Amino acid sequence: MTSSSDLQQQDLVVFEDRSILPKSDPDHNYCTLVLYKASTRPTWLNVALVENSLFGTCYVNKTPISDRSTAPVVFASLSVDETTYRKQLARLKGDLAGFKYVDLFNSYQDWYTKISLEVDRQSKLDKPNVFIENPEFLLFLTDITVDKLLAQLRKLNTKCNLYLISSSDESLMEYSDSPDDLATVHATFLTKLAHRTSLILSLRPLRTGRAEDVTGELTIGRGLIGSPKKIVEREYLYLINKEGTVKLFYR
Amino acid sequence: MSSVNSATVLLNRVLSLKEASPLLLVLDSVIQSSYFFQQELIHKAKSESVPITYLSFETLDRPEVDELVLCDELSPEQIIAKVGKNTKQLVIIDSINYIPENQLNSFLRGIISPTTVVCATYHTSIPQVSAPGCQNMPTAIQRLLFMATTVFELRPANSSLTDDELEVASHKLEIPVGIANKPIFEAKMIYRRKSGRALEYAFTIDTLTHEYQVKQQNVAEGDDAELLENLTTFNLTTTQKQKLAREQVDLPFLQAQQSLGAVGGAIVYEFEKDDDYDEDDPYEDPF
Repeated sequence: MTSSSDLQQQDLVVFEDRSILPKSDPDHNYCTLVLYKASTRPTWLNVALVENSLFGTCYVNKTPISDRSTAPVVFASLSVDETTYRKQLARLKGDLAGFKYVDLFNSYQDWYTKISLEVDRQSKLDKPNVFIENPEFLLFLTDITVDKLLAQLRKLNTKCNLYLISSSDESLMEYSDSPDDLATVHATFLTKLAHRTSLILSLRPLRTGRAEDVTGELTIGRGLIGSPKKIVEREYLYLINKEGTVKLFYR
Repeated sequence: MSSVNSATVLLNRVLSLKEASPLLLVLDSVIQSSYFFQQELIHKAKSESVPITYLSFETLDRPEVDELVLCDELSPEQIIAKVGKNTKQLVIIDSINYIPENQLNSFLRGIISPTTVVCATYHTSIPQVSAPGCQNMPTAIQRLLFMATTVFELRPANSSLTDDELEVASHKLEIPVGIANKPIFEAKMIYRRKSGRALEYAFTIDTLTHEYQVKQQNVAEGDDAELLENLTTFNLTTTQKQKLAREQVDLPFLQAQQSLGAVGGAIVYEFEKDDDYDEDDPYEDPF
């Protein structure tokens, strides 16, 4: 039986030109969905994507990225505080001036205005990459409806590339006939959102059970609308070590 | 062979808006979205110089259409007001799921006109929930299926996964890598004629080359005979010679059509040798 220690470590590649985040394109704004399960939290992947946007590098990859491009990052999270991300990014020893954290963790009121203002500010430099972690929480914390939230996200997407990080845990996808059921609202939001994305990254645990040397699977798949840049569809196994380093292997 | 040709001709005519079919309903899922189907329809309509109005509830990038209406902040009445009805046109709705269920009929009635062809996509992966007080009404999908004149059901091409496996993957939002949302896909088409007769075909649509192929149904011939083999000590199967002989037997209704029924609706009586018929007797009527 093959274990991850026998396999060769691979680089994270999303697009055919071996890039991870697309270069700034004036004609197209990408909408990417990052899905995760309860046992495969995406913090490591978020940090890798933010790093790639800020510095053009990726701490997961062994091979240096030759064609680097950078863009400012606006990061808004409803589930993880600023310190966690700042701590992770500080290890990369780069200038974090281009990283703007919008605190929705402590105050989610006026979320749209807060993010929008930051996006407008960063847009003066370059088109920013905007990450929103757990936007679905707004459906349960405020009285916003699914369609209204999607409309506001679309408005935001007209100004920037959008990365939406959401949980697709099975318990949240088992919807019922009741329109107010938490799972029904969550599944409706995620499915409608998926129909707007051009790239879907998913993190999930191994289907065959637990393993010492594999934390989970990362899949890179096409979204439901076309992407101007060709996506390399692939499945990886990943391992997060105790020191926080991440290794990827082809499945 | 002729039915294969006529199927692709029919699909071409429907997509080129030459066939009288005012409401095209596209049923898609997260496994195979209607994005590429819409691109194909736009390509066909443009080659026929038909003006296109695109009603966008979720599309961000403007497709190559004549008019784009951003609908996510408009009411159904406002959307209807923005769709013109004077000339022949194609109206594409990127997702009909966003129209409230109780306004669906009036919305479609407001858009459809003798000069308009509407192509509406319905995302089947989105949970179907009836609004309070509407539980006993037909669901949106049931009503759309009733109203549609042509229905396209999309699924990935060359997928090794069964329909049930695709359904589970769609439900869990675990989209299979390398299979889903490709520009080459399968479409099951149900075309409803005015007479009420429905034609059903399955196609593989290649939106890169704009070629359509009728999907061959895997009809397992001779399966029955194989099942009967070695089942009992009796011979339950037929030999090749017996099969040929059986095929050459003319069934009585075929013979009847050849001669007797040729005169439309007339009752034809053929005398047999034992019949006693007197021509001079005016009251003798064989009937």
